[in-house]
Amino acid sequence: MFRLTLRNISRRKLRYALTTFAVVLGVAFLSTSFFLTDRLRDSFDELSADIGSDQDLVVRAAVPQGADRSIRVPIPEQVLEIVNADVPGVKAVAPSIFAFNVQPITIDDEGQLKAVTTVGAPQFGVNYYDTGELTQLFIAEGRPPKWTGPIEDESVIGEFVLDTDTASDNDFAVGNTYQISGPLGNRTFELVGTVNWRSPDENKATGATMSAFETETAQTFLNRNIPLGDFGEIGTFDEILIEVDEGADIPTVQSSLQSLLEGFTDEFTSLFSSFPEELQVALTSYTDIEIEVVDAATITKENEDDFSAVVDVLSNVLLAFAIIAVVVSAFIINNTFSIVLGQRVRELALLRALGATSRQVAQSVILEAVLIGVFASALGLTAGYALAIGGRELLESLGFGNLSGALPIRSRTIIVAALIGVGATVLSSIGPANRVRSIPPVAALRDQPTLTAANLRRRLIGGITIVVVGVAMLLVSIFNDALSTAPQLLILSTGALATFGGVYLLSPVATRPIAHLLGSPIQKIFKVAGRLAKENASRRPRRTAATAAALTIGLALVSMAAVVSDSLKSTVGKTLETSISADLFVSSDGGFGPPTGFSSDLVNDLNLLAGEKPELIDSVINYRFAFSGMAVDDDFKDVISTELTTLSRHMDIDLLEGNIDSPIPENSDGVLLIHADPAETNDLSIGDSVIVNFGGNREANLTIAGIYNNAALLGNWVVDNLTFDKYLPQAQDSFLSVRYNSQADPLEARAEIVNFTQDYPQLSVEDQREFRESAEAQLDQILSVITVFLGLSLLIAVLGITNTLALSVYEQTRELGLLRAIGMTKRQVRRMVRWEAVIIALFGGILGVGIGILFGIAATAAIDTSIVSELSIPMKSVIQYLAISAVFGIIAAILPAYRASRLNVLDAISHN
Amino acid sequence: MNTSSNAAARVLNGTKIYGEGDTEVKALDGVNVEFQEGEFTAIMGPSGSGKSTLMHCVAGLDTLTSGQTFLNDVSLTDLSDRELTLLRRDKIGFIFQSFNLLPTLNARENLTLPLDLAGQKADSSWMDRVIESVGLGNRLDHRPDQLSGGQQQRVAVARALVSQPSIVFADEPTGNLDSITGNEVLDFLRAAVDDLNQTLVMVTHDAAAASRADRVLFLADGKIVDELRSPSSEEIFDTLKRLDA
Ligand SMILES: Nc1ncnc2c1ncn2[C@@H]1O[C@H](COP(=O)(O)OP(=O)(O)OP(=O)(O)O)[C@@H](O)[C@H]1O
Ligand SMILES: [Mg+2]
Repeated sequence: MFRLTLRNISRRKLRYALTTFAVVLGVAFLSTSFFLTDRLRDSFDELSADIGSDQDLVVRAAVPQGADRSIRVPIPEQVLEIVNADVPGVKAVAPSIFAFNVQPITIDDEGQLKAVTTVGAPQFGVNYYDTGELTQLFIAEGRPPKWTGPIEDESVIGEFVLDTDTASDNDFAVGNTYQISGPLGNRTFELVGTVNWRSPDENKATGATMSAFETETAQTFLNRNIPLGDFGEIGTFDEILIEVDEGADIPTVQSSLQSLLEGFTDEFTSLFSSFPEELQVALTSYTDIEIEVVDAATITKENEDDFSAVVDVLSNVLLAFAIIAVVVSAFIINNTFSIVLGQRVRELALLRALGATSRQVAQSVILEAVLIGVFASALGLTAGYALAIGGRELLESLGFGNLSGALPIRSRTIIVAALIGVGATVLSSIGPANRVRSIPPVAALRDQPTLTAANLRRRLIGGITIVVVGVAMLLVSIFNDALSTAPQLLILSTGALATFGGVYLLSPVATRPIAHLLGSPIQKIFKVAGRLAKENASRRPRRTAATAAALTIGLALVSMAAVVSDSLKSTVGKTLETSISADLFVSSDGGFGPPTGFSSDLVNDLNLLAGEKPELIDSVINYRFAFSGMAVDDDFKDVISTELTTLSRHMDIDLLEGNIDSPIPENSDGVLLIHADPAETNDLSIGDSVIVNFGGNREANLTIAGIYNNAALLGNWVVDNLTFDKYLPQAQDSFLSVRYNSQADPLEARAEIVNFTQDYPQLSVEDQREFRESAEAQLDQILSVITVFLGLSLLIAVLGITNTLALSVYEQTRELGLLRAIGMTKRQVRRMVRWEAVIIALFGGILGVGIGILFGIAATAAIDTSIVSELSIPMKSVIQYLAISAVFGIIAAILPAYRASRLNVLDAISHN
Repeated sequence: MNTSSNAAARVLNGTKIYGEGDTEVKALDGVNVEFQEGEFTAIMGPSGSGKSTLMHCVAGLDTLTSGQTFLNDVSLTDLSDRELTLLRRDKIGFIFQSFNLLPTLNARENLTLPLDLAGQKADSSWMDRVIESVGLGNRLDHRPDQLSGGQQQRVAVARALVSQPSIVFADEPTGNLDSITGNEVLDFLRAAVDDLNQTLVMVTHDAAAASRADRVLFLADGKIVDELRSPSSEEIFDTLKRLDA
């Protein structure tokens, strides 16, 4: 049997080649994503271990479990004195400051100010220190930065050094002065040197920006001083790094440090007992902290976790698309097996007649599948490795650091790829193999033996049942608002799968009517060729349906994404139109990555402007975000702060109860506005006080002042800026909105604003229309990334059409010969094959787009209304997708059409 | 060059060689033949004698290794594949032993296929005559698998006639039919010659079928070895026997 199987495969090389290719593509994509993400993980793990190994211990403010580490507060510099006192075993101590969103500004070729930006990597502002093993920055050119005077004085020119990559990529020159945008606003600094991060010879911080200042300058410029009004200020550090004596026991040093720091917070707090109340309150976020001493392993672990969160997202996305590709190829394999076995019925029947058992025959089919699966998986793995080498460059160019060196080949990669490759092939062959079992030996003698297919009536009933169940689940997920998002999405996706499966089962029934509908105009134009194309497409409904299904999957997903994206767009448009009265928006371009923000200097300046020119500017307000910044019952929530007194002049959050700008009641630390949903789930009503915890350790007693209905604007939890000032002092402005005086000329008003914002080239200034356009552009970008990733599945689907057509052409050799003999030209033959392909592809496209729209509607309904509240179906895209399906058909037909037209007429006539 | 005006097709010194060296087969060996307009010619000969090859070469489905073929005094030798295809479509009719009809089209559509391929409207009176002569009546809307073998062959004959070709070739058109059905088809072919003045060339192994022709050519080893005019079945039998010996 084995030899026979091998011979079967080798004799039908071409027929199997395309099938194999589909599996190869799926497995290649899958293994590429493994190779790449493994490489990324390795490089991040190395980096984490490297970063962790530099210091033995780190002193810092503790952040409780569940809180976002980005809201860690700095520690008062007094801690340094304790650590610096002769603690046995401590060899060296370095106070460290690192702030995000510090952007050097240069001048581009056109003489415009240009802020240095990265592709998602952080832009650090740090302090420079040279302390033995603890040293992080190594001077490559020039000298270290020095203190040149109090940088809060704008006339003082400070000094800074910049990482070598940023400097050379942006043509910074040592000796020149530059503006740097930081938490304090823009200040002027002279570039006195360039540095490499973490190595004297090579900058390891590729992708990120690293501006370093002398420590005291850094404290001021990076906003690490606690202002105490008339009492001056207290400096802080983000961390204190400690190197331990060689031979000293690190845990011992750690615990002795920890116990030394035990009483610090109380002592520190008592320092201010004589201060006025408001000042003491302003200090809460520094006095309420717990100081911890952690070891290198903890730091390494934290960094690994942070990095792996990034890699996990990437790898999950890639895997999802790879699995879609494999599923699509499974359809194609299944179809090919059905067709090829159908063509071999006589031969298989002969085997049966010669004494092979039905089991042996079926086994030989499965064996064939196994061999093809093994071969395709091996090829796919190899191709995947090659692809990953290309993908690595792409990742490097996106700022994922230096990934050179061999890609890791984990046994997991090989096992999963083989399992999926062989598994998909074998599973897809089981159906056809079972049908082969039922071939009776007498079929060998029949004129035109065929495989008996599964009962069409059973298929019809089964299909309808499954579709009904699937659609019902979709409807439940759409109309049942009581469900929360997670179970809703579960029901939605199960419903979606069921609907798709049912439609697939039913689609052969629809093939004939749809093919006739699509074929009629084609027949009108291309006459006989069109007529025959139509007939060929509908003569084997099951085959057409199975071929089209591969395309259906890809297009359904694309259309679903398009519906969601279009609904998001119209939600943005609707929100701007109906709920926003602000005229101009200022935001940092940062995009994703660490929280982006900019100095409150800007909003202060703009407020002064509004005071000076009320005839132009009505008001300006700022917004700050803290993701997972506020705990309510130990559950961390995203919270936004803004200027509640003027908020209603800028937007309408659809207040249901209470007031937006009510004063802070007695015995309360601030007011809280809350969306109706969390108000209901947390059983909160107006006037209630809630104990919340900022950063997990700064407790505040807030009073519910308002309950609102529109979560699309500010999310679920809103507090006043004063509250953030007090409890999350490191939060930066992320967004400003400006309202013009209603009498003002918008152009004139805007010009005034731009006067100030132009110093911050990293900020974008947009009016309502521009804001909407850039939001739309972002959505379009995401959609095109999704489409590109689904492109592979679409490519496999095109291969599937090619494959089916090639097999059909082979089956129709005699018909083609006859047609050619009685005068069909080659061109007409090509047309016939091509339009058959177009009909199949359009059939798949119509089903796909139809299902996709349905799923898109369901998904839109399932997604929280704070994100999507409007439904919109992008008719233009829908038409485009259908046109693209047709084009896919044309492309898929090129090869089979060519082969069909080149058939030798005489051979074809005598073929059987 | 000989330009006899009433020959629908001619072969001059036609030689066809398949393969090379050891495997070389001379399927046609210096054949000279003319098919007169309105004449019904039958070609007979043992299996492998080159009957089909001759027919294919005259019909522009295959090319001679040497020699020339003319159709209505047009030499086929210099025609491109496309020109040959159009020639087959417009000037030649075909009837094969089996599988003459496209399973996806009904009888009427199969019948008009050559016209449809040419994008021509049928001459309706001609069309009516052809359709009437097929005698399928309301079964014209049926697909081939709903027709009997004889009915299928009659549709095939009608299809060969419908574009009013210069010449119709039939390769064992009754080979797959029982004698009664075969006779019906032969009647139909005969009528086409008599009533429509159709030129017809038919390859057959059946002496009775050949006896319906105006002329019978005998082929052996790629050569025309004999020719009879309006022979009876017996005469044909005798000739075949003689050739066999
Ligand atoms: N494509 C080909 N390649 C090689 N040899 C061929 C080819 N076609 C035909 N022949 C040979 O040419 C000779 C003539 O074949 P042809 O088909 O014309 O015979 P025929 O008289 O039609 O026979 P039959 O009565 O069996 O149909 C035979 O010897 C055949 O083997
Ligand atoms: Mg023959």
